[in-house]
Amino acid sequence: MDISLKLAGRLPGSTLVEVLVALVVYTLLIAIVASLFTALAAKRPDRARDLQLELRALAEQAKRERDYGADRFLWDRGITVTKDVTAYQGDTALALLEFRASPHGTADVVVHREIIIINDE
Amino acid sequence: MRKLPTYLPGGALLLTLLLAAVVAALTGGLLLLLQYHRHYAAQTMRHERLSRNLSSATNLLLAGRAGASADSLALNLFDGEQDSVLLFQRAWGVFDIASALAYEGPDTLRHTFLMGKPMTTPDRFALFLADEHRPLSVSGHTRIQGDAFLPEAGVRKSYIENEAYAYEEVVHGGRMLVSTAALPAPSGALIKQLNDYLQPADSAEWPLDAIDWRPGQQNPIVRHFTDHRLVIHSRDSIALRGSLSGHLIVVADSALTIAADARLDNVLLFAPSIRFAPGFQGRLQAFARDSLVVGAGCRFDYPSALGLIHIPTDTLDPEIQPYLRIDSASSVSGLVFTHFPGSDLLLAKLVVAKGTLVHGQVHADGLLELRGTVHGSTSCRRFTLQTPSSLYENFVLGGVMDITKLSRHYVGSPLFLHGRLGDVMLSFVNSDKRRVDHGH
Repeated sequence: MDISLKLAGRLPGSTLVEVLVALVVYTLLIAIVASLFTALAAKRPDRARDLQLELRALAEQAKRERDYGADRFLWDRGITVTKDVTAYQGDTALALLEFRASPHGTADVVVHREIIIINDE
Repeated sequence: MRKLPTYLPGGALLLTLLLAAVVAALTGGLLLLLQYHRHYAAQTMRHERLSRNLSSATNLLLAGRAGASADSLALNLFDGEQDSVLLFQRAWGVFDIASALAYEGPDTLRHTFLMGKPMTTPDRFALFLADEHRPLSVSGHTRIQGDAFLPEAGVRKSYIENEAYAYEEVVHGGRMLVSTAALPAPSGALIKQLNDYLQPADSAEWPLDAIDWRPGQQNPIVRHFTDHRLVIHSRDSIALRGSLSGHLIVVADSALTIAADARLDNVLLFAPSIRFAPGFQGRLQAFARDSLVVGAGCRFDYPSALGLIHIPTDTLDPEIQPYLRIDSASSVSGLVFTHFPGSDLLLAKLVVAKGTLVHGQVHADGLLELRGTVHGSTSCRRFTLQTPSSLYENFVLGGVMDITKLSRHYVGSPLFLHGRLGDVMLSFVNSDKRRVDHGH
């Protein structure tokens, strides 16, 4: 039987060129989606959260060691951390403990602010 | 030879479309996952900030920034609108109840706790016996461990009831200091607040919102400390059974009996006469005017308070001797006190029976019969000792007063601790996290 008769009633076939073009289009599509995903992932939504938790750990350490002096240091990831302790609204028993983390090259600043009791003895 | 067709089978295109759909679905899924991740991170950070603000608000309460007179205080902790907190503080028996609430939008974190005062170094004495110009006599295994404020007449080792004093030293591991004629005074404001329930003044507010005790009311009553207090009032004597918990005050105009199987947690009890059945266990504050009797084998968990407050008035029987007794094998963690600013002839009597342990403070503004053990500080105007054959004055037989067994971190009541130290959290009574509509 002639093969063309066998194809009768089915979807029309695509040429090799059409299939190749379609593949290129899909490849482009995937590339765009992947780059979009990479760009969003690069913003690392959990990075700010992790930083926040790290600042919290620093604050807990400062309270445990009663280390209430101002300080500034650089983490090896290129993050500058500033620590500041000031009287809270003029109260001698209370202080505002503040940690600020600024990743290098970004305008994002993560802040940990907490009111603590410093004069309980 | 047969010529091959110039068309590929259509199945190839379908396969390509299918593959693309799968890739698109996977990519979409990853993007959704990323979005969820972002949302979760934002929520965690918000919770973290609320938790921090709650801690700050708690510190404001402990530093006395809420002000005991104001019912609540709303403020922004820092610049900006994101750090809003609400503070509540009010007296709860001999302690304070405080509640801190941090909120942002519909998210709220709150905890409620009891506050008290820490002991300062001058408060950490084993014994303060008022100087009434008579010596203290000790016999048997009486032990004073820690600093002791004693009358100028000093201490004698005595032989009574066939028992001689068992040790060489009278004061172990501490100094003997000279006491004054007056005992450390309680906070007048707190005594007045408590006495308002025992002898209501015309201006007292609590009767206005009190509900009547229904005979046979034995259902569990649980009142959250964030809700308005519930005052239950009975004009007759009542017997408490069942479960009562939280922001709840029971006031009886007559005798109040607490059954052994009653479950009381953090509630306040006021009555002229209170009796705990043997074997009762709970955590509460009970204040009586004429008598308070704790049966054998009872246990009062920290922070509890048992107090006798009798302020003489024209309407009260002047011949009555207020009486507080804790029977054998009982234990109280917290404060036990009598306050009877009456005549010197008729003093209130506080009895700590043999085998009883008080972990905290014992303050007897009157007579103290100490046969049991106090792990903490003891203060009294005069000791008394009743035996089957005799009544001894300023004798202690077998009583133990040991301040070293009390934790350095013990937190007591501002009724007797008025040091300059700020308040300290005693215990959490409620803590919750929820999304609510504040209507702010």
